[in-house]
Amino acid sequence: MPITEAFIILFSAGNGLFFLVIIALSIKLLKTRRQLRRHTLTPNQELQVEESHRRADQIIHKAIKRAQQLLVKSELEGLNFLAQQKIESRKIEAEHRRNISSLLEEMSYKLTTGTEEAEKTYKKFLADLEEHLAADLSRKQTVLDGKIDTFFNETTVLLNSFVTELQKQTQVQIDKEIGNARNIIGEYRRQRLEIVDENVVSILEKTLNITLGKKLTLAEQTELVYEALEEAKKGNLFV
Amino acid sequence: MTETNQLLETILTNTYSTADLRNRLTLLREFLEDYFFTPHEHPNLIFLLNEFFVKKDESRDEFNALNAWGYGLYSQFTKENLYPALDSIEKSAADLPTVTLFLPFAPTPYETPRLGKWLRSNVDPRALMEVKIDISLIGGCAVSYKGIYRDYSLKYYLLRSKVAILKAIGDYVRPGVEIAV
Repeated sequence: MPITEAFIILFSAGNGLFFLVIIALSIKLLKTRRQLRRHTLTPNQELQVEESHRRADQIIHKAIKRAQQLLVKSELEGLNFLAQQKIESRKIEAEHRRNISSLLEEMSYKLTTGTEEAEKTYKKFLADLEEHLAADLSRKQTVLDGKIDTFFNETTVLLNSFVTELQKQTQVQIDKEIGNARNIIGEYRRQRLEIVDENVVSILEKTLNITLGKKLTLAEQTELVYEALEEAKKGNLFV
Repeated sequence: MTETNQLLETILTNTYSTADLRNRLTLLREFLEDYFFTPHEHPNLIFLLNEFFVKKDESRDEFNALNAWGYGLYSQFTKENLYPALDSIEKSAADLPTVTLFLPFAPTPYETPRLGKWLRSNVDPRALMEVKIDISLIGGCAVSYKGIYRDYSLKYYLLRSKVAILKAIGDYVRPGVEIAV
């Protein structure tokens, strides 16, 4: 609540209270008059009472008048104060409006200026960044090209070395396999010859049996038996 | 026993194999039993022997063999000594040296005496031969005597020439030449 309005309310309340006091005194005075009229007064007393009543009325009248004057004055002052306050308020409001408008304009200007500045800065930043990135990219591309060349050169050397080594190993392996095959064949031949050696007599015997078995005449067979007996004799079988 | 030996010696003159000996001793026993214990009208022993073989349908070779033994052998037997004499002969025959011949063929009846005579001349004068057929033998024969067996067939000659045969085979194999792979 503004101070001016509080002051006006307080002032109006004081006037009201003053009126209430005046009214209360008037009512008291009327009651006193009635009580006095009930008593029998002397004429002098009545004159004194009348005088006192008249004076009291005058006082009351003056008090009421004074109170009304005070009331009017206070109301006027209050209204005046309020009017002044309103005027002041409007002035302040207008001043505020102007200030705010000025401030807004200034802020708008600053904002526009700042935005433009920021945009310029941002564009410059982007340009710088693009330039920097391009330079960096170019530099990295150069480095990468160099590394790729190095990599390919090293890879070529390694591959050549690997292929040569592989050829050597393959040749060694092939020689080894050929050696093994020769050994196996030699072993096979040896085993077959062993079998032939061990069974050559049986083989020949069967061969001769097939070829000669039924072609020997009885006389030839008999003659061979006598030769066998002679051999047995030479071998001391009959001793 | 001397008489028994003489009888056996007579039998062995034309008997060379154990099979012939067993067969002829059986025929001799049967004939003598027939001769001594069967009534017959003809007095000639050889005639009766021939009649016996005809009746039994035996081979003429066997008749000839028993006929060859002559009267001298048959006159040694009587009714009384018949069985003891025959048993003694069989017992003595069991002790004769025997040569077992494994032949790839069956010898003819005419070849058997030739083989027997060879054995009598070269092994023992009273030797007998026992012939067994072994068709797996090629050329020659195998001989078993006194528990020793030896093969003198073609296999024997091949074994004896094994080194030379292997050398001949080895020449074809050409050892020392690397085998191309």
